[in-house]
This record gives sequence, C-alpha cells and structure tokens, in this order.
Amino acid sequence: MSQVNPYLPIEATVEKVIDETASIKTFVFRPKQPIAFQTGQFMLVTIAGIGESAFTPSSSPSVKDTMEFTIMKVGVNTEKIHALKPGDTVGLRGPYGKGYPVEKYFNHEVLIVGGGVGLAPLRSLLLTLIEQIEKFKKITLCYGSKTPDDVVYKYLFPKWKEIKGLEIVRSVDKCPENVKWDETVGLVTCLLDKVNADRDNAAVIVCGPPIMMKFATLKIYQQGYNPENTYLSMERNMSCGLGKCGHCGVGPHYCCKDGPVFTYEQLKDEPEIWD
Amino acid sequence: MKSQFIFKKDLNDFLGTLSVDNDIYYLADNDAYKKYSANGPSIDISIDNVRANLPLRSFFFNHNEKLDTASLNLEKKTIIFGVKACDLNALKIIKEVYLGGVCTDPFVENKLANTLIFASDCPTPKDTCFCTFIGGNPFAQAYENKSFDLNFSPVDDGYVVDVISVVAEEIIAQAQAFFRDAVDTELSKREEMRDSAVKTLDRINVNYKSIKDIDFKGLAGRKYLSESWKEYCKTCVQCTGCNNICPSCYCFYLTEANAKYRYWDACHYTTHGKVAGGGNARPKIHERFRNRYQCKLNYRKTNFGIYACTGCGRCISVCPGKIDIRDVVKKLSAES
Repeated sequence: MSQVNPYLPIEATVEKVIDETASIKTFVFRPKQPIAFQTGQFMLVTIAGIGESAFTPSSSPSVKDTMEFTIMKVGVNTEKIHALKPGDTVGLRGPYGKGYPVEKYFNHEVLIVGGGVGLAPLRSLLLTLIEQIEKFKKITLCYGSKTPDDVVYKYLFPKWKEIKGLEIVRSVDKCPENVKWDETVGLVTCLLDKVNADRDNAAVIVCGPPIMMKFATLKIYQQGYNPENTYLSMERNMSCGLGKCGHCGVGPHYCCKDGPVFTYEQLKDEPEIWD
Repeated sequence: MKSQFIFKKDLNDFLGTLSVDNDIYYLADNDAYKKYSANGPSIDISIDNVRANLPLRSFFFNHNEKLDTASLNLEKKTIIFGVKACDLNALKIIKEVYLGGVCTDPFVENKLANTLIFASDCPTPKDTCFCTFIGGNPFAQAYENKSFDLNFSPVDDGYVVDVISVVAEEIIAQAQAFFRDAVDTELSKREEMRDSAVKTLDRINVNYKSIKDIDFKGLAGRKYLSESWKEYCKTCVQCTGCNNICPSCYCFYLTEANAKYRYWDACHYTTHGKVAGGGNARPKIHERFRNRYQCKLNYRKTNFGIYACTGCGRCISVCPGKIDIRDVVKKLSAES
C-alpha cells in the first residue's frame, strides 16, 4: 500500500527576487532536491500556515537546481509570496498535469500568443524552444500587455530580439503620454493580423487572462489554424493537483491532470469554457 | 461458498463475536449508523430499512481530516453493517477518483483496505428511492471488484447471506454456530422479495416512467445550454445539503495550516470554481446547479462509464427548496 503522502510539499529556499512590474515579481527557488518537470506543467507553492497556489514555472526544465516563478499579486497567498525575501522558505509540490508536447512542434512553425503575466509559462516554453531553435522552422512571439510598464521580462527582450529564427511582435492596450513605445498599440489579437504563419501546420500556443484567451483563440480558429495544433493553458481553481479534489473541471476534464495545457480540439465543443 | 442462513435472533451474538476484533457500525432504526457495543442495551439493528442518512463515503473520507500518514495504520478493522446497493454503486465513483488516476490517495485507500462491508437488501424502498431508474437495484450484486463482503437478504425470520469475499468466508467459517446453508425455498423467497421491491420502486416512481433508464448522459449534454436551468434552480438556496449528503460527491477543500487538512467541499458554493483575481468558472447559481447535474449524469459517466447518481434519493429528502432530481430530469427530457 502506498504510504507516501502526495499532499506534502518539499522545502525550497528563496534565492532571488526580481521585480518585474508594480504587481509582478519573479522568484528563484532552490528546492532541497531538484524537481524535474516538463515545460507547461505546474507546481503548487505553499506558504506555510497561509495557503497554497498553482503556478507554472517560468524557467526552462533544463535548469535543474532552481525553479523560477513569475507571480502576480492577486490574493492572500500571492501577497505573502510577494513579501518573500532571499533566504525565506516555501513549499513546492508537483509537477502536475500535462505540459507542452514540444517534440510535436519539431519541424514546424511555432506561434506563441501571450498576454500579461501569461507570459510566465510561455517563457519556460520559449526558453525550451530557444535551446533547440534549429529544430523549428520559425518561432513567433505575440505578446500583449496593458501598458509598457506592465511588460514582464523587459530585460530579456533585447537579447531575444537578436535571436535568429525568433520573431517578436508586441502590443500594449494603451500607452500613456510621456511613455515611449515604438510597437503596436492595440489588443494582442491585432498582432495576429501582422504575423505570417503557416496556418495549416503551425503550432499555436496561447496563454493569458481568460478574456484574452477567449478572443485570441477564437481569432486563431477563424484564421484557419488547426484546433489540434492549438494549445491553450487553461486557468481553473487547481487545489490538489491530482485530479481528486474536484475544483478545476473543464467539462469532463480536470485542468490539473488532463491539462493545464489542452488542445483547442479537446475543448472547442465544451460549452462555456471561457466564462 | 453456498449462500448461508442466519436467524434474526442470532444476529446480535454474531456481531458480538466480531466486535472483539472490529469496530462495528450498524444501520439502526433511525436511519443512522450506530456503533455496536457488546455490553450495550439490546441493539436496534434495522438493516432492512433503506440507506442510512449518512452517505457511506463518510467512513472512507472524513468530513474534515488531517492528511498525515502517521494516522494510516489502524489497529482495528471497521465493519459497516447494513450498506445498501445505491451506496455501493456510489463507492465505485469514490474508488475511481481516489484509487485511480494520477496517484492513489493513501488515506482513502487505507480506510477502504481496513473496512469490511456487510450489505443488506432494501425490501421496502421509500418515496424518494429511484435506484432502478438509473441502472441500479434494491439489492447488492457482486461485481468483479467485489465491492462488499457479505450481503443479508431478509427471508422469514432470518437472513439469506451471500458470502462474497475471502475474508467473509473466513468469518463465516469461524462463526459456523450461527449459520447453515440456505435452502432452495429460502432462496426463492428471496427472489420474490426482490421482485416485490423492484415493483414497489416502479409504483413509487410511476410519474417518472418516461425517464426510466434513459440516456441521462446524452440528455444532460444536449440540454447544457437550456435556459430552463434558471427555472429549475429557483428554489435552490445553495445550502449544499445535496452535495454533503450525496454518496458519490468527492470534492474536498485542501487547506494549509502548517499541515495539510481537507474538508468536504461543495460545488454549490460560489468559491468552488473561483480563482485568485476574481475569475470564477461558475459564478451564477444556475451554473453551479447545472454543474452538479452535469457531474452526476454526464462528466463522470464520460470518465468512468458509470453515473455518479445512484438513485438513493438523499438529495430529494434533504432539499429545503423541494427540488427533486427526478422532476428536473423529467422536465429536461420533455423540453423540445
């Protein structure tokens, strides 16, 4: 009989905290034992005595000893997480669910569509793709933020823009006066009109706030991309991570074990998945 | 092992011998499970009644529990006496969720492994019972996974006892003094009793003839977007009674308090689908109400091939808004 307690986290130390925006920080955690994961899988981060929340690492699985998480302050637990300092400890449990099937993208174009802090899991994917960029025909990142200040990983974009085989287009919903922004102003969906991708074969990956996911996915579908090659990172209330506690249903699926990465083909006939 | 027979007058002494090594809970006359005590007053065993009010899952999955593996090694086994077929069918869902999937839940697994189930027939179903309308029967049948150990069917002044598991065979062998082989007349009387119970269910549910054993999954799926859910949930006050009393509901709320604890959760709570930042998969009452029907009739049937409603009728009894799942399904199926 199994006696391992699947609900218990292992301890990790906070190694570094990076301020991304006013409400988003990236945390570098060093778990007591390295935790192997696939890009797109998620972890549960425990603040002892406070709570536990689900996040997808934003670092590449090829980095073994540390894991990075880019986290927006939105509730009780993330408020405590934002107060963490180097040397503090957290609990980590996972990895859970199904990540991005990167091998399936080999020899194809990859179109990544991200919004806001939704770039966190996509950064893990992007780093994974960049490590083996010769295996993909072309990688395109469409990234939308509310304002230029809300762009995460500002310090990484200059390097990324130099990478051959990676095209980056960005938009902001609005740009306040006095703020410099040379790129598109508009919703992230308008970037989809600017990219030239092989709609029959490209793998399309979407992650962002629910409203952005909805309209981006519907536009991608209308543009003729294949639902079987369209991958969505769904957000639900993932509590146990093991498909048992019943909270994260998407139709008959559980986001924690059947997702969080689903193909649009899996979900497109389920009513009201976006609401 | 051949079906056995025990006289009613011997039940108490039979339980007395078992109580040395086991904690025994029996179905008592107020539809509750009571703990057996060999030294207590003469006991009020009422295993011929319908299911206990308490769902069977309570024995395997406590309303609140600390998830600590140190608690796993139980010294005594538990015997639950008077378990009904509807609860055994619901237990299949509990097992699918907790023993199957990504990993086994060691807490539920441990309690299941340390529990013996003595089932008993339902000769007199009550007005909320509808097991035969959704694939069940008012008596337990052994499945491949042998979900119970013994079954007691009332006949004359005793019980025909089916011996299902190896452990149960050992128990009967050790308690031979109380048992003899059942004779053919007793077995045929049992069949008559069972037929009569099935007919009683047809009589009770005569208004629901049109939904007997229909394709509930197909219906729930087709009617997902029906506007009528808003009408059907009008008297729902979100008390979550139906969730808490359901034998197949398995949702729990995992909480962190320097250890992991879990509590039963309920999909009727606003918070069930809520995420940090304010998003909610089911913010409206009718969406949560509908989700319960989809879970029972559509989603779990898709996942496990079995309905997560077994016709026990507890949700009908408990509902302060007088919502009857049979009425909802009947109205849904009558919609164009």
